[in-house]
Amino acid sequence: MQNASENQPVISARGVVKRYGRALALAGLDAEIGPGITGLLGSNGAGKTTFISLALGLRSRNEGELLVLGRDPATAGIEVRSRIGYSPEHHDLPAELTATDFVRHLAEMHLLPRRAAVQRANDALWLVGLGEERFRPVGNMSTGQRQRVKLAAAIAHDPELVLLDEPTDGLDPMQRTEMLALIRRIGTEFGMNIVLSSHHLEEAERICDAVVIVEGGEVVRAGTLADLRRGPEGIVVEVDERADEVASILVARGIDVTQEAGVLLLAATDDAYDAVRDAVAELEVGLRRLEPRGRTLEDVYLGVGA
Amino acid sequence: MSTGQDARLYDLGYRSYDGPRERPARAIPALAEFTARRVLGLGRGGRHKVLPAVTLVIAYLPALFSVAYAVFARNILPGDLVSYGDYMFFIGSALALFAALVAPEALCPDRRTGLLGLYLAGPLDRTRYLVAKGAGVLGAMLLITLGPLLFMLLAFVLAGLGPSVSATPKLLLRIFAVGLVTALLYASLSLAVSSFTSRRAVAAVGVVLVLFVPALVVRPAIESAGAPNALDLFSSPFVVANLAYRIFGETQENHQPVTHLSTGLVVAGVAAAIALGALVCWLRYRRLEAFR
Amino acid sequence: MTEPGIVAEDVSKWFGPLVAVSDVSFDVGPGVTALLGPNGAGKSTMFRMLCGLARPSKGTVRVLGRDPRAEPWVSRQIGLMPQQESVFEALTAREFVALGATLQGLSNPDGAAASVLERVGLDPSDSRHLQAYSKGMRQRVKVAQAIVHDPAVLVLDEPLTGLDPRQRMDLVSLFKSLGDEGRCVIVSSHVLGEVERLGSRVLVMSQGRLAAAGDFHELRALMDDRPMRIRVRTDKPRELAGALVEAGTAVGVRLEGDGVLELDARDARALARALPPVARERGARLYEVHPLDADLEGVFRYVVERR
Repeated sequence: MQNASENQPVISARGVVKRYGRALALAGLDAEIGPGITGLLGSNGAGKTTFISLALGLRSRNEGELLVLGRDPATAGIEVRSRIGYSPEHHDLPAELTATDFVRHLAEMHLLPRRAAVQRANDALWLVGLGEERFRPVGNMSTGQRQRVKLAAAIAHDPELVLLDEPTDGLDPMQRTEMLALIRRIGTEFGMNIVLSSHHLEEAERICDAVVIVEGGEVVRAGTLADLRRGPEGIVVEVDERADEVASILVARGIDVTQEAGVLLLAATDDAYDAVRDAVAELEVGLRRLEPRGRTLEDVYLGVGA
Repeated sequence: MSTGQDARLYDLGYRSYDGPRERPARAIPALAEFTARRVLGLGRGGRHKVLPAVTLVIAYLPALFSVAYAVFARNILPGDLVSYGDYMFFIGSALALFAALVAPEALCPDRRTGLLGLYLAGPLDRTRYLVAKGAGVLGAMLLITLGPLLFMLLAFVLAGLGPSVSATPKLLLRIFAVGLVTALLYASLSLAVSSFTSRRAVAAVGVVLVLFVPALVVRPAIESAGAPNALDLFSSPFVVANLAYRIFGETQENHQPVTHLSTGLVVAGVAAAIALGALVCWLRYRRLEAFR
Repeated sequence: MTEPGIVAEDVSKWFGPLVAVSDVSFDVGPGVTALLGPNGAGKSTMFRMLCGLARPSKGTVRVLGRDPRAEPWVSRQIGLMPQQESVFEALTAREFVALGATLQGLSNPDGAAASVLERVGLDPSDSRHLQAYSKGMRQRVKVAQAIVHDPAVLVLDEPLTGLDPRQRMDLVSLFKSLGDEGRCVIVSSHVLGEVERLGSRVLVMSQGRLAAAGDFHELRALMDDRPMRIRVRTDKPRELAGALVEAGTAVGVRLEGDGVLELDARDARALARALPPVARERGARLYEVHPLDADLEGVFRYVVERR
């Protein structure tokens, strides 16, 4: 697998419009989805599915430019799709096929020669933790196992771009953590570009480098997590008791403090850190939390904050 | 990989693939082969081999008997062995049954599971997918349309009634022509019917109806109700046998008069049916909602 | 409500040799309680027994003091939102909910349907069939159907799947208000972040048994064979670490680099109190203090992995 130029966007869209009859699904979407792991977020019906189907060349757009891995999927759909791995949202897999047959077959269908397909299917299944179960029919597998089969099938042919649609759907919390860690590894160690479509913002926060938020057929927010979460600089402080008194001491020291839902918020200066420490020590209460007050992805998503 | 003097630690991590990749068009034969194997029950449990095997046996049996007869009997006359044309007529039902097993198995499960969507998300589009599936089904059908005829040839040869050396190429060509056209016709029609539903059982019944029922209805309609002879073209066993008779230059007394319809009409009818089947498939799949 | 909404006592359920639920006892009162557990832990089976859809092989289930299988009155007091897609596509939302109301024996099914649809944020006069509804809207219709007969007990199986964040927030606040009204709401979900917002009462099942019950903050405190982990960022990591270890407040420490310490403490409260004065004494500035597994996910992992 090669990445021609490290900084070229993997998907670039400009003014993409898609209509279904009179309904406007995408209303001039602009996005640059770069290398790395990108989260594609947005409400149901906001246009994510449509965008993915356009990127795969499965539907044609009405207006605008769209390049995926440097090619236009409307004209070079076959070629583009041969370089992409896709894991769909649904769990409908052919029940009779064993995991290894399924992954091998799809790898062959993505143009891997037979022997290579067999070997890489094997490797991929071990990689996702299904090594011992690889001869089990997919129909006999649990949800967690199926999600991993889909992931193995998506990466077996060593694609340049992997599209994952709700890969943690139906997984319990621990399976979810494992799956996210696996996806992170795939995106970082293995060097595959990943676009992760998900409803779970905390997942995007955990493993994505950048995020694109789609709403009403347009991209309303996009950027690296660091950029998006940049908010008013500040510190949040949580103490076990006597928060009001702590606040008073700080104010007396000339520091601006606001109280919100049991925590204290103040501006982040060197003086502030020491003041908090000393105030809490003086009052002999417990310091539970002291953190930079950035915005969470949820704040960004819901449009809260500056 | 790190090495010491004599010790090595190998890296079991991910290996990227730098080897050769096939051209996109290669996905078609890969899918065709996969389809042919699956519909014949290869690579699946024994359960799935039963029905195709039974049908194949039914189709081959007369030919195999003929071979045995040719080996063991004496003084075999030309009329003792079944002619090629007649053979095609006899196994008409087996052909229809086989088509009803194979075509639904090729198309329907992909729609029921999400596999069609996964295929289309790869280097295939709907047309290529259908071409691959068609090729797969065709390959399986050739097993039942061509094989028995080749065995009959063997029987003729063993009975001393085989073709002369100079006539052999022409005969082989005819055999292949009949086998291929029959397979194309049945494949096309059964795939067209199967393209209407995602349920195998429903499709199988549909295929049987389309391939059998006209045969039952057409003859009485022509004989008693005086319907035009051209209606015979809708009876697939008739058409196939008829074509075989013409290609082999045979005549047949007890069955439908061969000369009722001109050769051109029969050929046109078959060609139209094959084309129509393919067109129906293509149109059905164009409109299919496969993504999500 | 004078008695606990739901009481399970020594409940077991087996299907031949497969033990799905084993000796589970708990009670659930008014408010929202979350039922958590890995896949295959027996949660769905437990839910079905709570609603009277399955009979315990052993033990008893009592809802509002009665057996839900024996007394139809009780099943009228229960609202169930099952996991699968189960709406009739050819009806409108109002018709669908009214149907449920009729089945529950309400005297004015249509009126009840209209008012409950408004409550979940849908338009009762919408004449479109459910087929045209998005997943989020269908989930809300299912919730409406579950509450149309004003049940005292609400059992919700994975109600938030497939919903986007805004839709989830709306439903979460709906569930909380239903709980605040005094109903017994029991919710199962895998999305722990959302569960945390519903409240802090949890029941955790694992391998068919009940692994934990109660307020998850208090549960964490009980997990004393596993030290709490707290992350601290400071400009004097070694001195601070040394001082805390020497004082016995921290039982283990990892120096992660960049001034980051991961401290292990048996008593998180004591560490929280000791940290500021010790830091002040050493002149160490505290840039960050952050408990690492005190959230629901940490508790969950601990509870489930313990065996």
